[in-house]
Order: sequence, then C-alpha cells, then structure tokens
Amino acid sequence: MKKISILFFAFLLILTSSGLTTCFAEPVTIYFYNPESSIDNFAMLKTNFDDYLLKQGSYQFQPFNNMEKFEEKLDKKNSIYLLSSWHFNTLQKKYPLKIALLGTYKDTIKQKKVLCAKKEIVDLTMLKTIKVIAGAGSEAYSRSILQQILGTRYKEIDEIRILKVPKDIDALMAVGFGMAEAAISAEGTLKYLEDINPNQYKQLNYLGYSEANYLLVAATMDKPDKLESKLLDILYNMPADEKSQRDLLLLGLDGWKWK
Amino acid sequence: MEMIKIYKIVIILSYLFSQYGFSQSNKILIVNSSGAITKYAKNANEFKQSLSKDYQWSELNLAGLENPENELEKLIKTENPSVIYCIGTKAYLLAQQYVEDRKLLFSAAINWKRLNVNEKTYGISNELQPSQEMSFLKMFFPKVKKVGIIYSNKFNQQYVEQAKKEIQLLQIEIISQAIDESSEVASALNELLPKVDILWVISDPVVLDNKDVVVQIFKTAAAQQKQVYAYSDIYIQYGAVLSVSYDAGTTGGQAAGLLKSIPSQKVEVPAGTDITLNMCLIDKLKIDFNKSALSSVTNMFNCTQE
Repeated sequence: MKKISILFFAFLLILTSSGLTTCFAEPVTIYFYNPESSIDNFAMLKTNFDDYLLKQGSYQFQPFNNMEKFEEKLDKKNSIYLLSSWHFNTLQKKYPLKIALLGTYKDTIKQKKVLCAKKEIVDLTMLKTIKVIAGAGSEAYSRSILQQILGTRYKEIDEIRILKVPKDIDALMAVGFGMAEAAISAEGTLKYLEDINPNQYKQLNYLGYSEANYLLVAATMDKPDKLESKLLDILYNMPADEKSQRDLLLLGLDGWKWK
Repeated sequence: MEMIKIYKIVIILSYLFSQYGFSQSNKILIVNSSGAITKYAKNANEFKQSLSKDYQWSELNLAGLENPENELEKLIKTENPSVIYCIGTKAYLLAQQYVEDRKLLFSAAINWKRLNVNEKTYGISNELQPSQEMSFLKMFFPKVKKVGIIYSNKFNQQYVEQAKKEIQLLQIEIISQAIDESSEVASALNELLPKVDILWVISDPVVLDNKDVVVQIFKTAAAQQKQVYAYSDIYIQYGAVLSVSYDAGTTGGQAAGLLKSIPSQKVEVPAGTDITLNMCLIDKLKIDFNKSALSSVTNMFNCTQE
C-alpha cells in the first residue's frame, strides 16, 4: 500500500511539473503595436495570425491599438514584440529589447518618410501657409517625423493641426481633395499614388525626407530563449506558405531577415 | 454700495444671457442618431478626443428615446451650446428644427445634398468622391478598365456625371444605365453587365430599394461572372468582392477640425477610408488581385465567416 501511495504521488509530481504545466501555460505570444498606421484592422490581424500560429503550436497573436497597453506587456518572457523601429528606438533606454528579425518588403529593410504638399506650396519658405498636415501615424509619431524632416524649421509649424487618417494613401489623397495642405507618407506609397491616381500625384511637391528607418521589427527581451527562438523561426517562415505570406502582407511586409 | 449694485447687474445679465439664446462659445451638443451603431460611436469618440480642452460637450443619443424632440429642446435650453454636432441623418433632421443661429456640424448623413443646409452648416459627407472610390478599385484590381453603374436620375444623375468626368483621368471608363424604378433593375443589369469588367454599386435608394432587388443584383452579376464593387461593407455578405467606405474615426477628427477655423469647403470629403476585401470569394473563384494592396485592408471576409 505504501509503495502504491509513493508511486501515485511521484506520478502526480511528474504530471504537475511537466505535462500539465505545459497544457495550462500561457501560450507564447507575439505582441503587436504600430504607431505608424491607424488602420482599425486588429480583429482581422488577430484572426489571421492566430489561424497560422495555432497550426504551429501553443502560440498567439495579440495586437494593440493603444501604446500604453502594449508597453505594459514589455517585461514578459515567452514573448515577441512586433513594433515599428521608431517605437523601438524610443523604448530602448527603458527596456533591454533586442531586435531578432527585420521586416522586408521587395528586398528592402528600410524606408524614408516624405513630407509633401499641394502644388502651390513650392518649398519650405511657404511652410507657414500650411494649416493641416495629414498623417497615418499617432500624433507623437507624426510630430517626431516632422521634426526629423524640418529640423529647426519645425518651430514654424509646431502648433499645426495633424489630421490622423488610417493609412498613408489616405493622407496623400487628403491633400488632393483639399482636406489638408500637406501629408506625411512612406516613399513607396507615393509610387502607389502615381499608379492609381497619376493626376493627384502630379499635384504634389516634395518638401523633405526623414532618415531611413527599418520597417517593422521583431524583438525580444534580452536574448531569445528556446520558446521564443522557435516562435521567431515560425515568423521567419511565414512567406513559405501562400496563405501565411498573404497574412504577412497585411502588415506591409513580404519577408524577414535575421539581424 | 456702488460695488454691490454692479455685482447685482452682472449677475442678472449673466442669468439673462444663459436663459435667452446667447449661446456659449465653448459648448458643443453632440446629437447621435444611435450610439449603438459602431461607426456612429467611433465617430463620436474620435470627435471628443480631438476637441481641444477649451470645449465642453454634452451628448444626446436618440436611440430608444420616446420623445426625442422634447429631450433635444430641453438640452438645448439647459446647455445653450454654440455648436450642435449631428451624427447620422436622423440627428440632423431633428436638430435642424432647433438650431436657430447656432453652428451646425454633421457627418454620416446619407446623401447630404438632399438636406437643407444654411450658411452656418458644415459637415463631412458620408460618400467618398468618385475618383477616391475608383483609385482604390484600381489599387486592388489594376486590370479593370470598364466599370458599370446602375443609378436613378432622381438621386444620382449629378454624381454619375461627376464620376464620368473625374474618372477619365484614371484610364477607367464608366458605362452607366439610368432607371426610374427598381422594377427596371433586371433589364438594366442584362443590358449593362456584358459591357463591363465590374459592377459598381453606389448609394441609390431607387436601385437598392429592397432586399429582393439587392439579392437579384448580386445573383445576376454572379451568373454572368462579373464581380461587384460596393460603397458599403454590408454588401460583402451578398457577394461584393471589395467595398470602400468612410472611416468613422477620421470623420470624427475632421468634424472637430471644422470648429477650429472656417473651412475652405462647407462639406468635406471623408479623409479616411475603411476597406473590406472578400477573400473567401477571391479564393473560391481564384480572382487575380494586387496582393501588395493587402496592407491597406481594414476587414477581410474569410470563408469561415460564411
């Protein structure tokens, strides 16, 4: 009887220390927040990414539309943080974040942002005539990019109204339709506008460029552990399958590059 | 003694001002047709968030009110706002009766050109510009060259004429078919569909008169292997391949912006867009589309949602 009891307790101990804890452990999570875009697509991203990740194991995708809530998750293990490089740079002083993967699109890993204005605003000497600038990012992001592009001239427009729109193409069209005098957009989106609405494209003047920054990056707290490394591999392999490649395109990426 | 007299006068004058129509320049009354509609709620939230701290707001949700006229009248008397912001047609039609000399803002009002607007009325239209709609169509389906529209002269003659003019520059041709009654939809479809690459469903109360007509439009288009592009995501469930409509959050922000300065246009076009893609249909029919445009999608209809 004594032997059976010992065996029973040993069995229970094994179950609780390995199998069961694995069953009930929180899945390894990809947390996502992008202050460079305001598209309200979180439900779609959650559905599509969870669909891909769950096929690979106990993983999940958690998008945020609120920066503070995203940052509350920043001290967790078993986590990957998918964020814009601008946001990554602002967080680096506070957290030991390390970039593991760099997002790519058409073989590039960096992009510049452009400030462009309606035709009548020919150069920066006319900056003061701008009342509204359309941009897809959060107010803090848009102002930071404007400071980067304009340098000391930013003072001339520091009280300007930023019209927040979901995406860069909306910002550019807002100039064309007269809701803003200028727009902040990724360089690549201007090429898009040229294709889909050449007339509006011709109405724009380029006023300045930001520095080139990485597209989205995938980072971990310190060096990735075993579980995080496995999830990074899963993320890296997304372009291998047609459906998951399409999911990745929802984030504006077509692949990853190891850092 | 003199001082007390002055104070008394000031107090009496303040009371009179607040009671008899001298509106308070920093007070806004938001009248929402229905706070339960997600788009309207998002619109109101973004509006409030975009207001500067100088403004105070109060809100009236018309949904479920037994006597909305009384409620609105009472609120205007007690709050005495300088601006009334109406979300949705119902709110606008009601508020218009009590606006007096106040500034009236509106958004989400279907086909605003049908509404009475005066010199103190400003708004954001519910409908996108035709060239905005066509640019997004081109973004997803660059091969589309001929777009068909069925419309009623009563509601959309001007819109279709404007569309034809604007869209020439996009190398897209609009082929249109006008009708007077919804009973003419079937014959118009048979006439139009063979000539076009895609059918564009615009907001037209005659064409989209009832659910049966809507079903008929989508069935006929599917039978002739023509896709449908729609102005609202409600048509995705009927089989539209793509829809592009206004983004409610952006509209709220735009409306708040109209308070800050006198706008150059009395009614602005929505600056933000919501894009819904019917991926289920695309996969089923193996429809060729521009995958690079996926980063602009707001909602995706997958087959599992059927």
